[in-house]
Amino acid sequence: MTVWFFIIVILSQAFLVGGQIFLKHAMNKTEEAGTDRRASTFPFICGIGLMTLWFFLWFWLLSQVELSYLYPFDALSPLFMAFGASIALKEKMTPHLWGGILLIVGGLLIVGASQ
Amino acid sequence: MNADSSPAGASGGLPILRVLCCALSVTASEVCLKKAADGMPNLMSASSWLEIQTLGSGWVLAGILCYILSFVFWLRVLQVLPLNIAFNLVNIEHIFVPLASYFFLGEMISPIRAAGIGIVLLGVLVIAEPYCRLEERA
Repeated sequence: MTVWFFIIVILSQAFLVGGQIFLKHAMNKTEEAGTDRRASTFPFICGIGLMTLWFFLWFWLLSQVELSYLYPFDALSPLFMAFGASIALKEKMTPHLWGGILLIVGGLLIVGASQ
Repeated sequence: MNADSSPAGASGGLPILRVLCCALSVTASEVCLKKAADGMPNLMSASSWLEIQTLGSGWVLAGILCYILSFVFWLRVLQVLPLNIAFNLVNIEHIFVPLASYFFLGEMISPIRAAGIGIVLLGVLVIAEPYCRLEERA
């Protein structure tokens, strides 16, 4: 596989993490009392847009390689999400959360390897 | 419960029902789409294009509806949980999907896959445990 393949995989994961961060940001805005609707509409549209880009990029990757090869990269998404949410949304990371994330990533890698 | 006193800044207890509904509707969507894909003709053959209306069949529509439902539940989960916790709790779908494949599609689960599913479940429980303890105290 070429360097480009890995760049596109990382880009698709970045779209996924970015899309979810925008959706969470939109949900936070709707929770804030007195916020006008437009404040949450923009991040919501950005979130949907990035998730759409992720979907088509992932679909294209699936057409290029076997699912069993691509699946382990998808299993890394909880790790990317942990870094993304702690940096962009300032969410607290606890030892419990890191432990759970590592177990999920490990479990998903084993499921991927069993294909 | 105050936002600062809960683990990782969650604004309330664990919305178990919403998380389960989200994961179950994703699972239902996957099963419906797999049923639809199995029932579809080989799209590479010319004659099968006449049968492409099967894309609008009941299974595809049910799959899309379940996916939309899961997105609505996902947004409801995001309203009350930090993204990190919500995203990882919904990973419980990786347990439901193989189980549904076994029960509804007749697929086999190998011992290695079962071990992986068990480790994912353990990870979800590790993340959920502090919230369950808080709910017991409340």
